[in-house]
Amino acid sequence: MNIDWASLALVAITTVVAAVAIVGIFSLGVAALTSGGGRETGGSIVTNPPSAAAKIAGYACVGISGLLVLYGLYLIIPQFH
Amino acid sequence: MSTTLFLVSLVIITALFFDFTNGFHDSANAMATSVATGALQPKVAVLIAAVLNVAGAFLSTEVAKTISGGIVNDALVTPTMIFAGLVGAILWNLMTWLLGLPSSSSHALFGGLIGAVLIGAGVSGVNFSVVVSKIVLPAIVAPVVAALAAGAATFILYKMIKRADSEPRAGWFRYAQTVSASMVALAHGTSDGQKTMGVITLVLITAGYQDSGTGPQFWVVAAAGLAIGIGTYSGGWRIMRTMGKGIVDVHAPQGFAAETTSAAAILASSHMGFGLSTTQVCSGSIIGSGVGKKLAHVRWTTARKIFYGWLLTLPAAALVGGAAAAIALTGTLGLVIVFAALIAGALAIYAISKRAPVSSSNVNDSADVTINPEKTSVSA
Repeated sequence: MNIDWASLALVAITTVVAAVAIVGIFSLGVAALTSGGGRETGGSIVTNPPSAAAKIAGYACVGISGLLVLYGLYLIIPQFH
Repeated sequence: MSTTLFLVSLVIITALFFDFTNGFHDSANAMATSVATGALQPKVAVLIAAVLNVAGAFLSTEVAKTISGGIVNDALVTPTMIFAGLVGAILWNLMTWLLGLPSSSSHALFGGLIGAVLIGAGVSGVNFSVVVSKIVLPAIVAPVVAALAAGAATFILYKMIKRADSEPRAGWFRYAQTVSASMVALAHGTSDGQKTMGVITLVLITAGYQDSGTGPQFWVVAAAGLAIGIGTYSGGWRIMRTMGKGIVDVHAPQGFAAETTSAAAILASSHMGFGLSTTQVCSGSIIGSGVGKKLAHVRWTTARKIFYGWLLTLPAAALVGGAAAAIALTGTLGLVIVFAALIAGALAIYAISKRAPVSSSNVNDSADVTINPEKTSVSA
């Protein structure tokens, strides 16, 4: 029987690393962009804007996630190869 | 009409029918979590998935040169065996849909083909070591790897963000989830859309209607793309409910982690030469998104039921495919009988599904897919 253990391992590792990295980067961005904190007033949550630095870092993370989506599209669409 | 033309027409119609069931079976893979979290309205979700599946079908240029990738000896496969294999695959797809079980359409197709080839060409026609390396092993690897990756991603997400399930954070994750789900849908179109085109093209070549070595004709691409698109749009709501509500009650951050993992796994597997089933990857990711979240409840009874379904997919489809081949190989009358049985079986399953229907309007109302109407459908 011919089982390609090497590509199996490669696919497994790539999946775990990619999933954790992409989810981590985007979550970091969301954490930064919603870092202003919020207070509850009568049931509705009022959020304060994040600091300027947090805003820049947050949008940078979201931007990187966007680039990763473009890379995914590049991989999916065969015309780009 | 000559016998050949009759047979070829029958195979094409059956192949397009299979493509349709493939679409509505796999609609949930991309969209179940987005529907469950309310990121997308059910009808909008399936419309996006359908459009992306059709787009994917048109984008795919590399059409499968072999039907089975070496699982059966392609030189021995006749159009009648392909027809019988498709019948087995369609009936298994409809049966699992009735029970609300996500199961791999490709594995159903391989199972049907194996059964048909066993009857038509004998044991030597099936390459059992390839069955193990390309179907059995990936069926174990796919859900485990996806669950591990999605579990880790979900765990880290909830560690990094406090109260990720509440606004305004959940809103961000709903957007992100929609994007990853769309990637899964597009990738699905490029891979599964071309499977049916490959089958039809090979049958046309075998019957002498098309030159060997040429690609699919435009009408084949259009018909296959349309069939999978209509199938996707029809939603397969029974499976959608199981994947969105039945395994884990998915929240937007979990849905985002699950769909991102699925997209990563599908792309990694298709570019690194170890093919994994989209359905098994997506089911594993959803389980992982439940395992990785503290206090989340994974319904293992449902997960186990799905796993048993996967174990049965190959033998069950093979059984039907074999029986269909035994009848169809007797001649034109046999072909007609098998086709009539397929239509009758499909209508019967559809009629049974109407006893306890699941549609876009009630997909999120319950976590269970039942065959008999629930006695207490009005909840207190």
